[in-house]
Amino acid sequence: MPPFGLKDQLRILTELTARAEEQGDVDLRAAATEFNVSYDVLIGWINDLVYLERRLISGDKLDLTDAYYVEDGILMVSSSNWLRDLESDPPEIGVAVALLIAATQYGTMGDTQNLASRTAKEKLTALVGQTYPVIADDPPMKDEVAECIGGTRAQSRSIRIRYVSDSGEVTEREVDPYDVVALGDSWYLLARDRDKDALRWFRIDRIITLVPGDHRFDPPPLGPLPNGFDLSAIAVPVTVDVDPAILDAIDDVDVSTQTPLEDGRVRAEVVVYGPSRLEHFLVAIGPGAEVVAPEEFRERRAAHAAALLARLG
Amino acid sequence: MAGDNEPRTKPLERNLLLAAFFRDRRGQWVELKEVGEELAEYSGPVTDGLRKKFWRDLGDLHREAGIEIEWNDQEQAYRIKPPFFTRDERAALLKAARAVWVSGPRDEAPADELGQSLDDRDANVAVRVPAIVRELQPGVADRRLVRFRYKGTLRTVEPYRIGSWRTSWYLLAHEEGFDRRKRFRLDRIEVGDPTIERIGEPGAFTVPDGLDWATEFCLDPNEWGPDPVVTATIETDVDHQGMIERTFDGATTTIEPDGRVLIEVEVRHYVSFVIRALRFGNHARVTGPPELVTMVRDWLAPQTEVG
Repeated sequence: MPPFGLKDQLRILTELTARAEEQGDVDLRAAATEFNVSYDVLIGWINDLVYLERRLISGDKLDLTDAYYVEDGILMVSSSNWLRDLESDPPEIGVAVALLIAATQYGTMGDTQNLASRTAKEKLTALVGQTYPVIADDPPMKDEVAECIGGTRAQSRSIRIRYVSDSGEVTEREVDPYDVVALGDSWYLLARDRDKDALRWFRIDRIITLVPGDHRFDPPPLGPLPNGFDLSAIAVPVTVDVDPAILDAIDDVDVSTQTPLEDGRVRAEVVVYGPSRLEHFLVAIGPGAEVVAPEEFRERRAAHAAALLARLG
Repeated sequence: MAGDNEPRTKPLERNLLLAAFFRDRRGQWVELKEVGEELAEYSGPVTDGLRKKFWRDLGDLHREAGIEIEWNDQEQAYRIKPPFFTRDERAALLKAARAVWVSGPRDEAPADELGQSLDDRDANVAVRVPAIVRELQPGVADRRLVRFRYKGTLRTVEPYRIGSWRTSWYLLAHEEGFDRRKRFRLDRIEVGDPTIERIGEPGAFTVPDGLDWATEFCLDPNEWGPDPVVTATIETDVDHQGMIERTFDGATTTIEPDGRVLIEVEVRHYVSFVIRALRFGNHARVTGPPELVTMVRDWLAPQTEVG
């Protein structure tokens, strides 16, 4: 094990007390393994903090023994994380941005905003040099969908929804609603599709109607919120020569590279997600664009353009 | 040299005692001599050796625990700096960060930073922000020029503000050599080493007064497009009506007696309108005005040819 100097000890204490405050408790045996320090040594450092008490020369007492406690190798914050109470350094800028966005969004979520949350946001705004907008606005049906969530087991009841998929297809489904969450700028209903017996995410702004269903269900424990959707299974790479202004106007693709061409266009390598978005992309790039690769998409583009043209009449 | 009665305190305990000592004297200026009169670890004559030990401890507390005890020349004394966040502010932010999970700019931040030990079990909002914001934000905060490569060209800009519109994140900035503000899509800034270069001094520019940020980041081409305004009509059905209305801000809808749904939209950017209208495939049809119908037709017809 490496020798640990005072700086390491302070850093580890700061991190563990922060963890205790945010997670509720810290398993010190696991922490010892994580920091590659023996448990006894770590407990020694922790005890220096937890039992910090001193009779000063003047006779006054310095006593911070009520701040933290350790029980069965678990560190918890008892009255206050006083070490953190003294931190005068501002948060690192990336953290400040994240906190400001979280606080701004949270302010729209029904909880009362107290003075502390307002002043905290003001400090963060000054630190990062700007405010941030609310990311996920409430769609019209959100409250109605949210009311279907969170009953007791006996009250949890399925719902029937009429829903427009990403490709525009309209379906009617009976689902067991589990949770309402926002990912990025959109709110979703996480539910079990009873027909498919599978968990599905439904964009709430695409739910057209909602009525009570026929079934009762026991809500299962839910896992952590995904950081986003894993679209890798439906990701399609495409290379096109396109007017860069038109490419800018197309929202739902990821542009990997853009190489300027002599004719003013760019050769763009993009990733498109799913067949309906692919078909849209292939015609959205406009008549002045060319599909470079894969070549078979040229036929697909022509077919989709012909279908849309026929619909136009 | 420390006094004879200095206890055999471990360095860690000594540092914690020092922090706790100043905590109890928050707001007060304290001379080193007074520290020594209370804490045996610093007692005795104020020598260079004692000062060095004291300063080293102050440095460790600051660097490793973020606790800064500042010196004031006028007072010839030390005082603990006030915390950046009060305990209540910290609690409010942790509550928000527990419910709203923001990833991206903080992913590489130190583990002891606020909110870094939370997990996403209790979150019901997840926001992914481009990690590059961490590199851009200091330029916004300090009013410092930044340089990056975008669409194959190296750009030097005054970064005004970062924001999002729909699913994309943008930097609003003034680019050298241009007389208007530009919006740069963050996911299209090219990765380099470094991707974002901060240049010049802080305070190098001022952000124009009176900008309406909501408008500045409303990137709907129908708000800012340069084309003569026309009112487009899109025919659809009740199932797709909502999606189309949300796509085009300010749309007005009429339901005809025969069940057709007609959505009228003011259009100021024809190309963007065509691209977005085509997104609804066979569920939407542009029926007017004639020039836009012609434009849609001219957009599609050449593409029906393979080659």
